[in-house]
Amino acid sequence: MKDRSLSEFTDEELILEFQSNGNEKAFEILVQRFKNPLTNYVYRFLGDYDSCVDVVQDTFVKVYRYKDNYSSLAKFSTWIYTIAGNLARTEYQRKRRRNFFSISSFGEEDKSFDIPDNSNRPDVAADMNLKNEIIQKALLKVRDSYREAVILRDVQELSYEEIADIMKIEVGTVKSRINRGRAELQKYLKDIYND
Amino acid sequence: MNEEEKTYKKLLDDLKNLPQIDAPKNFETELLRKINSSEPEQKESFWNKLLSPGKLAPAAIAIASAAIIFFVVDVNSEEMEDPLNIAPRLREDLVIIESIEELPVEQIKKTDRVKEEPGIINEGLVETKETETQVLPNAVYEEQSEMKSKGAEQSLADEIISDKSESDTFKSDDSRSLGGSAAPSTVTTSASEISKDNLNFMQRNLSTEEKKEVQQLKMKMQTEKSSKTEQNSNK
Repeated sequence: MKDRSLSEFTDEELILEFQSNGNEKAFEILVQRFKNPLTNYVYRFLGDYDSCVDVVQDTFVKVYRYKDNYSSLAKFSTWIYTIAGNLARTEYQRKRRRNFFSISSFGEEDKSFDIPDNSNRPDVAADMNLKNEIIQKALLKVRDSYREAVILRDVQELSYEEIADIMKIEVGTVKSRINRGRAELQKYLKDIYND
Repeated sequence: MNEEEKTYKKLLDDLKNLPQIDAPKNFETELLRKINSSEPEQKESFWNKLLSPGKLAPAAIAIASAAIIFFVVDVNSEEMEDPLNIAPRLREDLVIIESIEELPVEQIKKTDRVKEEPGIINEGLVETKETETQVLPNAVYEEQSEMKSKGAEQSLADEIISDKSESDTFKSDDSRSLGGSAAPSTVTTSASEISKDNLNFMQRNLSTEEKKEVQQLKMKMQTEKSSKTEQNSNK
């Protein structure tokens, strides 16, 4: 009876329940609700499933540990997306540095390399057609801040206000970043959309 | 839908239709394992952070070095002296006298000794001699005529003057004997008394053969001259 009532709780009520009473069941329900949206968001940002799962798990670990840092004034989704976004950005920069150093250590500095995409895991890419693969690759080419805004808006379908809260920027800036991100993406996908 | 969304309609549709990526099935178990395995990070208090050896040691070093710089190296201690306002330094070894009577007897004796023992090279004596040459000229040459009219006491002064003139004329010899090929020291003399030796010409010691050659040339010149005069007288 109590579990059923917990599942009816809003996100904010659940985190408050976890904060005040330490009820881990509330935390588990939150994990159930957010694990897939966060995995999708982080995967679109990083383009690597293994790293994406690690980042999402780290996000929930942080929520578990720093539950007291959550303020009831903000939406829980905003808070958890902010944490996931920050961790994803850090992971992306670390990966980029690692790729840069591992490539540059192979001698010829002027020569450019195509980094193979390791995201084609069978379980993930089974139903992903070629077009989706191209879009995902194009997304990874878009500048970090624009990409994050475009994913939150066009993939996760969050409102401009929510995105502004997550990215901690003005709504106008969110709109301009989304617009620029879309333009960049369109440029990279011009071969698809010209046909 | 606004205009921007219309322009990117196809793109937006494709982005919305991207396949949903789900978390793996063992996500919760892995998450619980992570939560249980990792120890909760304890929040350090402000004072613990501040007094940690990692921060305390560099801070102490910085303070110590600042104290050393402040107390030991006093940057502002040097008072800048205006070279134009500094009084000229007085030389203690120079004695300015207005007349020859004021000349101390010891110095006169020393000059005598120098005259008596010309072979002995004593730097101190030479220095006093030089100082005399530097001090005396102004006083001595101006009152030279007065000194000639004076009596026996003045003969001593005359002697000093002659000594001085000797020292002037043989200055280059002295300097040569003292050491050197150095240029003759500066001597304050009037324009009429400037001799060839006082000028900074290169002075060369002739060897005996060269001297002989010069003598022969001189002799030759004289004989030529005498023969010419004889011829003229005959004419």
